[in-house]
Amino acid sequence: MTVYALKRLFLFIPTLIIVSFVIFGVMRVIPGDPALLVLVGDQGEGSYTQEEYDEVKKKLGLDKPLVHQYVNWIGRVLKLEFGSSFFYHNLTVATELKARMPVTAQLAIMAVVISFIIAVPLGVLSAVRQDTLFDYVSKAITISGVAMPTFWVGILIVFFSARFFDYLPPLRYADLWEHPWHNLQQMIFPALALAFNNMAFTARVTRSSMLEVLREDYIRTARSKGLVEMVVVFRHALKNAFLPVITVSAWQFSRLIGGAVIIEVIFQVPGVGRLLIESVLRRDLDFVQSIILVTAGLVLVVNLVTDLCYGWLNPRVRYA
Amino acid sequence: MPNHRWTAKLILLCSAIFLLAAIAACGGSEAPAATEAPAKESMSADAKPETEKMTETKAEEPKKEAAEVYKEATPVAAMATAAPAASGTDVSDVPDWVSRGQYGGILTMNVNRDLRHWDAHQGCCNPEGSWASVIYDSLVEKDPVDTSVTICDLCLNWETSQDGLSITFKMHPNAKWWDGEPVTSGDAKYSINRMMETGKPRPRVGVFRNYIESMDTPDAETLVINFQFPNPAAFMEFMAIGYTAIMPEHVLANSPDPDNFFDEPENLVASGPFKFQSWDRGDNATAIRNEDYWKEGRPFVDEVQAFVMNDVGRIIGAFETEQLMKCFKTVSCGMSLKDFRALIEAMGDNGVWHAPPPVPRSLNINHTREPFTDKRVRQAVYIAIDRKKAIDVVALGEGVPGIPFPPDTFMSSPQEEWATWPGFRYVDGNGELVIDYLGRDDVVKDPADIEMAKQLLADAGFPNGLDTTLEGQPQLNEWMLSLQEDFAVVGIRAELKPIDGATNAGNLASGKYNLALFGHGLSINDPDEMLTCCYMPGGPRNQMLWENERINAIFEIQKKETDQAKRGEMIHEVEGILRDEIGSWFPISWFKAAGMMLNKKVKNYYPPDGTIHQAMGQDHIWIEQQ
Repeated sequence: MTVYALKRLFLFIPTLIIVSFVIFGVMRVIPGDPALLVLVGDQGEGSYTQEEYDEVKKKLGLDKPLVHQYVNWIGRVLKLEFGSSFFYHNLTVATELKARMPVTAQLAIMAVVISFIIAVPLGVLSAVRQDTLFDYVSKAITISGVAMPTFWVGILIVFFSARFFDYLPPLRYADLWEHPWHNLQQMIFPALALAFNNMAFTARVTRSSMLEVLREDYIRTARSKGLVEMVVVFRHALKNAFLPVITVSAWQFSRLIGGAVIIEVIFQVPGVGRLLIESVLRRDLDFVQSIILVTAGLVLVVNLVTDLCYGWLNPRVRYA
Repeated sequence: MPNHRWTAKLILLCSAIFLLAAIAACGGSEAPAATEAPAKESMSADAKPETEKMTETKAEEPKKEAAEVYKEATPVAAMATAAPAASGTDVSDVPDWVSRGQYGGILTMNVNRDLRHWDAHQGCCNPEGSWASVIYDSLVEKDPVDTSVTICDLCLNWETSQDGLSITFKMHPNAKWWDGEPVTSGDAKYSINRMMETGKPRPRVGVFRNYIESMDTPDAETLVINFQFPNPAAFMEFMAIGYTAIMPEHVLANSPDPDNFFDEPENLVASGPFKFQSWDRGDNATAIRNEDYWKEGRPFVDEVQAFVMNDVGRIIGAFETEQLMKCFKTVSCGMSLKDFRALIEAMGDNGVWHAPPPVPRSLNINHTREPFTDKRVRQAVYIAIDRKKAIDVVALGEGVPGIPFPPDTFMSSPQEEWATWPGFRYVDGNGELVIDYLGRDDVVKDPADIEMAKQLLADAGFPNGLDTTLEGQPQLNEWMLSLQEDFAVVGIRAELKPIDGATNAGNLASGKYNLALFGHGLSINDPDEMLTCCYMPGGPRNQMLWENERINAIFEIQKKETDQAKRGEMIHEVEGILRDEIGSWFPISWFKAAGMMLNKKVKNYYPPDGTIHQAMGQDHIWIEQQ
């Protein structure tokens, strides 16, 4: 397993190099001049002179050739200096990521945990009571969850809670440990919005996996031995049906770490997703490039940990 | 026992996830004290509106359809005076409304993006402007109640010299910085020099380079500004925009990096009514009442908070639940006109909205690109536009066709004139030309104009029309669709390209566009602003450097002219040139729908008579308490 893990870690390098090339290239290809945006704003309300424009471009390092810009950026990344904002004085990517990553991580963890807690029983019961009313209702819920985009669920939550309950989560983010009640008020709705889709998907996977396992010979054997149904389902069937569920949940977690962009915007959660979209909109190149690179690295790590856990949880899995 | 081992592993995994959650949450960004908006209960039906002011009158009226409410828009802007007032208001007396104010509460606002500079001189746009007037004071300001009048802010009074070549400001003796030091004429001189610094980004305030020759400070209370020519008409109007912050010389000049020192808000030292408290970049900022503010009795609210919000549903919900109390401009609040209509509907009697004076919705034509290098093609585009339809459909009927200068001012031709211009003509069922056609349903665009546009295209070598592109930001989609329809009638097949703001700005600057819409406002309503901004090379709306020598010459003469009527005549000549030449920018319409929304509990706010940039102060606003 150690060799496998080392090999996977080694493969991170080309992956991250490719990601860095792509994101650097994309940010240079898309229209939108950061120097100009510094001067006139994204609504173009300010005015400027050519002299001011040249000065800003030079200050941002955008007057240099692209190769120079890339080498400069990647050199800083290797020293773990991810760069700083074009628009905010003394604001570094590292500072912002340090502040925002835990917020997104909390949201992602809450979403995955909530979805896990609901999805597994729902999926198991649907499989066990296949083609019953419960299964049909469960199917309707999970298919709705898969079909409804997360942002739509978020909008509905905002609409109904504001219109019918005169309530919305506080606008201002508060730290979990300093203001736990305030924090939970703010985070529970976005977590639920994210969890709904995740829950639906996980429940579907759990159900199909359970159905497959419940048709296995050893389940028939367990039943023929006279084991009570609870034991058959939870000790023999669920255990073996669980592996794909964990894989899916881990995948969902890494997806959310990448930034639940729209949900963060809707619910005023100052996480990485919101930071990324703000950075893209204002063409804050160092920010966009570094956030993507760090996120890609995190996703690789989460995937690796998942794979390792997979083998750990299922001794039949062996790594070459 | 494999079963037990597996269970143990699962428990371990779950524990690890929770542990990760805990670690992650531990490192969350610092949260300021949880200061939520007042509870919903306070918005009960028995909340009594005050008996004064226009805003309250509106709040008391029965609920109306959005379109109806729009028709209550405030009057058209008053213009800059022909010359600076000979002397200024003394603000040593406390205004009578101060005694009626109520203290306490939090004024919450939303903006579509975070501010980029706390240093007001570097600010370009509304997010910066909205904070500039909260933190800083300027030399002069617009009277918050009688918004057409310029009054002293940090000054005690002013006087213009007989020859109009200088203006003398006396500084207010009570004015002081947050650190207790007095505000002196030296600070004002330092700040104005800073506004005029070349080679530094000064998007809004660099304009003073056009007017100021030199400055003297004979003593700590006196500032003499010497002009390059007598009585620059627009000077005081520009001075009254929020970005003209007076900053403390003793702090900035001694700082390690005067250019950026105030962009770290912890360093801020100003004289304004609110002091910086916290800033979570990209999310929110808060300023608290300056308990030692030098203006007696002000400010009224305890805190001003601004939240960066981009989801319209969330914004509307936040207004409904009183999490937000004020949105000061549609676009700057991240809303399209359609969204704003939804907000008006949602707020009903709980909201009071205002439409500031008309702003231009304009079209950029890339005159350096084929086929628009041909004046006839540009003329065809200009004439093809159905301006009335755009106003009726997109601007809710509240607007004036896009004449070159703000309507109903000394700068612009009267309706009797412009309603006869090609591209502005409408006829009734009998084919008769109608002058007073706005608001009428029985008129259509003059078929002669459509034929004229087609003929111009044919003369330019496009008898079968031409293909082009029209780009703009998604919130301008309704305008784009309206234009596309108009162009199609004369054979201009415009492919619509919705793009984001950064792309839009970049394309305009680099000339990578054919036809483009771009949202913006004006700093002040004055020919100097219009000409330098839109119709002369170097202006931010004329990035393709379209130029007309006669217009340049007229600018130089008119800016020195103190007689408003003569100035108007000169501008009318410019109008004629612009209609004939069609530069790279022209208004489609002047519309009033750039609205601001206030919760009805927000009192003593009056919409600007000039521009929004002259009405961003918050020290006079109070929130009705239970």
